[in-house]
Amino acid sequence: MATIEHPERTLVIERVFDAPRTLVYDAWTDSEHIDKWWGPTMVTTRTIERDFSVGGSWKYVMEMPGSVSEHSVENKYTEIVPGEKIAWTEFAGGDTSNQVTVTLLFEDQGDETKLTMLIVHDSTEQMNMNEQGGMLMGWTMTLDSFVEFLAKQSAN
Amino acid sequence: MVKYMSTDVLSKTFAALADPTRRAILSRLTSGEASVSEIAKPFSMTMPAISKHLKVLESAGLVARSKSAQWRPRKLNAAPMKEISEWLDQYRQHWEERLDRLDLYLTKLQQND
Repeated sequence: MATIEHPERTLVIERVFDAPRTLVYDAWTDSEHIDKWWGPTMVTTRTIERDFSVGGSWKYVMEMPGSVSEHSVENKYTEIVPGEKIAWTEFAGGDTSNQVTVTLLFEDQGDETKLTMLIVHDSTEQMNMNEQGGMLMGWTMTLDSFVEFLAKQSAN
Repeated sequence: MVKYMSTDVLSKTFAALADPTRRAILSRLTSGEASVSEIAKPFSMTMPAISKHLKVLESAGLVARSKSAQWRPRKLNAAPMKEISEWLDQYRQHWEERLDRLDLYLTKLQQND
C-alpha cells in the first residue's frame, strides 16, 4: 500500500486494468502509445519532445480540430522506477500558480495490473506558512464534510 | 476539454485555510454570527492580530460582515469552499475519463496481438 504524506491535499485514484504490468507501464512511457489515448477523442495529442528520465520532460500540444489555438503542456519527471513508479510535476489546467505532482504506482494483481494515482497539490510558499497545521480543506473532502468538521470543532 | 475555475480563488482559499487560528475563527462562526471581540476572546492575541486574520478570511470571501447590526458581526460564507469542492470534482473527472481511454486502448492493443 502506498503511503500518503499529505492526505489533506492528495487526490487518490485507483484503477485495475486487464493487462500485464509491462504493457500498462509502457502505455505511460512510450510516446507511440501515449499520444493515442491521452487526449479526448476529438483532440490530437502531439509529442514535441520527450526525455523520459528524471529531470527530463514531456512536452506536448493538444490540438482541437478546426482550431488555431493549441494547448501546450510540459510534464517534468521527478522520479522513475522502471515498471513500478513514475512521478512528474505539471500545472493543473495549465495554470502556473497551480502545480501538482502526479505519482503513478504499478502493481501486479494476478494477471491484472493495479494502478494507483496520487495527485498532490503542491503547497506554495503562502500555503507553507503553516505546514504543521496542514491544509484543512482536503482534496478529498467535500464541502459538507468540511462544514460538519467545523461544527464538531466548535462543539468541543 | 475540462474547464477550470479561477485558480486565484482556489489559491486564496487554500492559503486562508492554511492557518490554525483562521480555521478556529471559521469554526467559531459555524455556530452563528459574532462580533470581533467575541471572536477574539478565546485567543491570547491582540485585537490587531485577530483583525489581520479576519482580513485574510474576508479577502478570501470566507467571512462576511453583516450589515444589519451596528456592531457589524462577522459571519461565515461557505461559497469559496464549494468552488474548491467543484474544482476537485472536475479534476478527478478529468483523470477518470483519461483512465477510461487508457483502458480502451489497452484492450484494443491486446486484441490485435
